Amino acid sequence: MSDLIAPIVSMGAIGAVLALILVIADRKLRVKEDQRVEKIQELLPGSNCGACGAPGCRQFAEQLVSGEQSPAGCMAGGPEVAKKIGSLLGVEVKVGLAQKARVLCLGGNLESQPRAQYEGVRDCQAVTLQSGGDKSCVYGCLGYGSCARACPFDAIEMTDNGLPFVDDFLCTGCEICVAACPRHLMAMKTEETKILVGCSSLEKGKAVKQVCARGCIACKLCVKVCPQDAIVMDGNLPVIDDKKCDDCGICVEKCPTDSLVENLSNQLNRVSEKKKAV
Amino acid sequence: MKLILIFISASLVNNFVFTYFLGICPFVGMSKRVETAISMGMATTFVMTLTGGITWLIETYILDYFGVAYLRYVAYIIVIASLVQFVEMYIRKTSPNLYQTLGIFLPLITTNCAVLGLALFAILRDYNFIESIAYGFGAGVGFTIAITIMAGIREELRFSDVPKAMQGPAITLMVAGLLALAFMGFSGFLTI
Repeated sequence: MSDLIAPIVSMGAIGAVLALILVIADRKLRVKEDQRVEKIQELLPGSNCGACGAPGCRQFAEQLVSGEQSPAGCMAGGPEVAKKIGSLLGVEVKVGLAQKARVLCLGGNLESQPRAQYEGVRDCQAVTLQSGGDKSCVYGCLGYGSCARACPFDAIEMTDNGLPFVDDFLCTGCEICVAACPRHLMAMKTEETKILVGCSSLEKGKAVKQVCARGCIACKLCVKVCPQDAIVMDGNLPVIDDKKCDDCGICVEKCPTDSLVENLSNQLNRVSEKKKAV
Repeated sequence: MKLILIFISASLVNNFVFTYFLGICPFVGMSKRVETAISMGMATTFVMTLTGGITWLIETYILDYFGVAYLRYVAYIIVIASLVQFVEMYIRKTSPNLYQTLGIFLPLITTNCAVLGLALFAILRDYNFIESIAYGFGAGVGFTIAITIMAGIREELRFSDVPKAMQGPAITLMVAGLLALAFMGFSGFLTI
């Protein structure tokens, strides 16, 4: 019997003392929390992407509760999450169309040859520092995948052709890749944009033609063929008015270098079949 | 003098991570960024130092006194768990961001075998109260050194061209192995 008493007393004493310390600590150190913060945090994507301006989802939830942010501020969650949060907080939410990342360059390894051989850190920012990169086109996608690594949702993958492919299902429109691209080639587009201009080169036609098979050569053919007069030239690149465009696809068909594409996920990375383009 | 020797022995020569291979879980899990690695190291150091002292007190005044040394493991785990709980409350109060970053690894200090290992080693080596604390502090500093070096390497590793088959945990464990080899250079420096 005495064998039992010693362990029970000693362990009981240790347990009791520690419990007492924890109880006191809990009283002194308790953090008061709004119940809604926890609930909102569960609704949020939880990737801490920072697109809303807050450091993370938790802080965004706190700012929502204190009224500093609107539920639509969560880019990654999109309209659905915003509505749920809105109903939780009793706020009416106005949401726009979901935006998806788009790459404004179609010149991959097949279309645009490198002008130098690059050996070094496989990162677009680092490549740009080496006299503007190894790509012959100084406006084009470098293809080292900084956007793919930056994406918190793994929505971007580099294709064999050295261009980013955006998975619309995974892309939440958080705009992290937009900031990650040193050449500013990532842009957010909603489904209102029907045709994408797949070139960002500001050069004149001849200079573009020399470095890339799919670059816009500023021939203005699209401007002429558009039945809606939705296309105008801005410098050496066409600009399409989304409101006028009726998605007839004539410009995509007529573009000699195939640098206009339909804004559909499966069209963005297709390799050109036009003779002049490759 | 002996205190300094114990400290250096625990932190460098017999580094818990690199020579005893204790605490590998947080070592691999929390070493992605230097900043969080240092915070994790500090939290672990704090827990280890306190553990060193408190387990000695419990060993001497309770377990030895009642003659129930066989309850050592249970008693130590309770102490460590409560300490970690306390640290968690404290961090949550003082630094919510750090609390977020440490996430699940903070409560996991409880099951960090380096902490329990430290308490058991200190008893095995018959350290007195002050020596136990020095040993715990040294072990914590050693853990911090290890995890910070690892985080520094892994930050650079992100930009290097690692073969696909070895990306992620594989290359991390290889780096850990090489670091352990490097730390073997300290062996035989001093014996206590």
